[in-house]
Amino acid sequence: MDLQIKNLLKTFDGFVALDRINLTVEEREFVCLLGPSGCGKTTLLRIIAGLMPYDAGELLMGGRDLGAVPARDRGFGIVFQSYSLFPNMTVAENIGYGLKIRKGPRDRIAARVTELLDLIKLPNVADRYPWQLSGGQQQRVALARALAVDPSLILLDEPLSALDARVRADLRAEIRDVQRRLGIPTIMVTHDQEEALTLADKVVCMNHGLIEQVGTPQDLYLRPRTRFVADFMGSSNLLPTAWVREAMPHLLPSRPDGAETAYEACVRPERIAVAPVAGGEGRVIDLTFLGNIRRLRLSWRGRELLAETHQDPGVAPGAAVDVSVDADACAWVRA
Amino acid sequence: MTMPALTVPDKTPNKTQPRRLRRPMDERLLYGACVLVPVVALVLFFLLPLGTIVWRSFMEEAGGVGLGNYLALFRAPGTLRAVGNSLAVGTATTAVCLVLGFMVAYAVQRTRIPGKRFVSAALALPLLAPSLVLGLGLIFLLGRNGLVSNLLGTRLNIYGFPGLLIANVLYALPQAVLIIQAALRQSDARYYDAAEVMGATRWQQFVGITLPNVKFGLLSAGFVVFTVTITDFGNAVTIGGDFSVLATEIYNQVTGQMKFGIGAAVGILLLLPTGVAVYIERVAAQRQFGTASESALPPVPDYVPMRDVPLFLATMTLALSIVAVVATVLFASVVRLWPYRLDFTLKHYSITLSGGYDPLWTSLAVSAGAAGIGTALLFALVLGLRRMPPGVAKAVYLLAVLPVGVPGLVLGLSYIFAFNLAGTPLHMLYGTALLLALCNFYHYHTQGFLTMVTGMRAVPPALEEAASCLGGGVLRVLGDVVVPVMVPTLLSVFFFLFMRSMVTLSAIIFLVTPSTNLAAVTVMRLDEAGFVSQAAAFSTCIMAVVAAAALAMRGALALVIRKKAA
Repeated sequence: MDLQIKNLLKTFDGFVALDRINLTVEEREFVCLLGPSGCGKTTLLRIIAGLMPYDAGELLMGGRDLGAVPARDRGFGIVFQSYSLFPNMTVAENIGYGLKIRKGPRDRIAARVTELLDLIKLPNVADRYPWQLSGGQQQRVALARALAVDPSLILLDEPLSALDARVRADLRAEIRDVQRRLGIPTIMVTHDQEEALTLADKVVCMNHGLIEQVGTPQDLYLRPRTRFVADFMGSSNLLPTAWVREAMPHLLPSRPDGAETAYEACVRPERIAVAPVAGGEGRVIDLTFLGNIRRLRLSWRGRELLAETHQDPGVAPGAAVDVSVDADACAWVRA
Repeated sequence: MTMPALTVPDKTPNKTQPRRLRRPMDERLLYGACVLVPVVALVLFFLLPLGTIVWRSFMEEAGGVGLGNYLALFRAPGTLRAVGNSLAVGTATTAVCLVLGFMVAYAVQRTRIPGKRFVSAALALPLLAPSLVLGLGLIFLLGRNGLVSNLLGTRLNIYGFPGLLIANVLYALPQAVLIIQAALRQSDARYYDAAEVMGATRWQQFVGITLPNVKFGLLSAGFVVFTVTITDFGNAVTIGGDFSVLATEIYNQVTGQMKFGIGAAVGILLLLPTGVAVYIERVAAQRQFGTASESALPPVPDYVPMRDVPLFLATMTLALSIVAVVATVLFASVVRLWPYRLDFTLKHYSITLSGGYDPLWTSLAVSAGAAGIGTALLFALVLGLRRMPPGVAKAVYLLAVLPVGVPGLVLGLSYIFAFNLAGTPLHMLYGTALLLALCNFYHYHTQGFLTMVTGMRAVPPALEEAASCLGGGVLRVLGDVVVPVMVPTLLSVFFFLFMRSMVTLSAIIFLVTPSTNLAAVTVMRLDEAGFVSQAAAFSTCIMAVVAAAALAMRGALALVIRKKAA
């Protein structure tokens, strides 16, 4: 089943939290709602879950209007940032809770719990209590609890934010794997662009209650349409049209029509090629070693540029360099 | 951020039809009833009596409505003296309690003196007994026929101001310590680390960080002590002697001279200072606890001989004095003739007053009733309040915290006016144990309510949401999420109401009848009749019951926590 959101409006005391949002989540699709805090992504998730009312618009699941359906009857699974396992229940009781509510037979519940514990690779924790598990383990159990009832939609509210970097990476891979295998449409809220890029089929980049851009991770990274998206999805060089006309005229043909200040060129740092050339026009301002990449700040034709390379460029601060950018390396964004 | 789920008011800027999340019918019915029943009860058993007493204070004896009762008060020299005395003893008690209370709280919370558990236990003793037991103990120790007079061969006179001051300090100190201790607990070790790094001395840290951080706690404790003192009846009646205070004045006007109108007017007079004190205390408490941060690290005290040794001696002396006063009552109850013939006997335990131990059983029933009814009503109220629109919730909250501003004596008197009216349906309740239970519950309504609110705050909203999203209905969410988290709170509120009901005297003094006499009243009657040893024996029985209840609560709480940890 697919989820359709049409013209969804949500205000808090006159403050517009979601401004007529339109979005479709296809069957089997993994959608990430990405944006800075306060952009409305969590509000949107809570409205989809049925935990919060909305002012206007439509919410359709497989064509059925969800407006009058309370959270408990929507049949979705949800995982919170804070794990939110029931402290008074064992892991098995937590996972089997939704099935118990649906009055499933006891042996069926037990079988399902075992199956899910295998799925989350924690086969031996059934009788433990939540506080006896690590954060990562608790979050896996929370995921299993959400999956137990065969939800028609999974909602993940920053499920990885409270975890350590290593655990986060492991669990990220696991969530992706499980979602692919089960094919349940999933919506995840995150403010971490790397998480969104690696997990999502479709990224929804939000800002101030508006959707800035919807697309595949590649779309958002390589072809951002607004300055906000370009900025939020990794670092970029944003170059005004007038400067491009002087310094990089070969980028101009791809520019959409519009006023001089309406568009800027976005060039990702790794698309700026740097070569040490005696008497070159550019100067290296400084150089940062980040392990797998090296980041250079350059001064070139009156602007400061950011470049990244995987190989040692063989330059030191102050060195003269040549700078080149391919014609297809630039995306024009709305300023 | 936690959104107050489902209660956010819909406001649409451009005239669209708001899409409210329609909550299922069962949910709306349940939460509606949860709020409605306790609120109706609050109106019937709190607002209505209170309104009646205000009205009665304007009803003149000769008939007609006017300020006659108030004018009569101010013409009577006795009342003015009582007001002055009440203020004097209230102020003195507050000052002493703040100094001693801060000392004890600081010693327990911020130093490494030994015997902290003993100090805390000793300070809990006065809470286990009716207030007049302290008066009784003091008389045994320092009275005309007390131990000290007997040893010194002189006749000390403790009745009046000095006796009342000591008894009130002993009675109110535990409450002051609890509040100041809570304020001291709020601090963050990192403040002190920062000050240490910047080179502040211990004294500078104390003056610059510790004191400013507890100032609202001190303010709060001061008002609580003041309120408790000027509204307490038990101590005033046992050890006050001729030193009349407002509490005894009301009692004399009503039961002695049957001047109900003037009694009501004194009641209203008593309402004013406590009302103000309670209001300021609330504001102070909010300021104090508004600054708490979740990630605070508690300061870890270190051992400083210059500070800890004197504090240890002073604190121990205080704790031992409290133990001595209470222990004297126990001891006096089992000797032939205190303090002259100290051979062991149980004869005082055969109570000669008519009814014998019946009042103790009545007290047990009344207290269990107050605790049971009270816990159920408060739980329902707090549960329902969370789903009410903010405006309604705020109004109900205000109503629910109002009873703390009404002294027990005033509440008890108002029950006479409201329920002793022949021909009204409520008259059926008059003279029943149920009305006593209700009176005790509403007397301590606010404290129970606030405990319940705090407990409910600990229920994580995300857990309820998780249960809802998994398909849980109202009762499911209640049984599987709310109640398990709330069990310790429910236990605390139940036992709090039970223990307070067992020992309180002031509210029910007007409501007891020969068939529904209560334990604390019996102690007072025995004392008045001169059977002091029997009064001590009866007090011992009350303390035994309340101590057993306190132990039962600890046991139950430990069990709950152990089960959770198992």
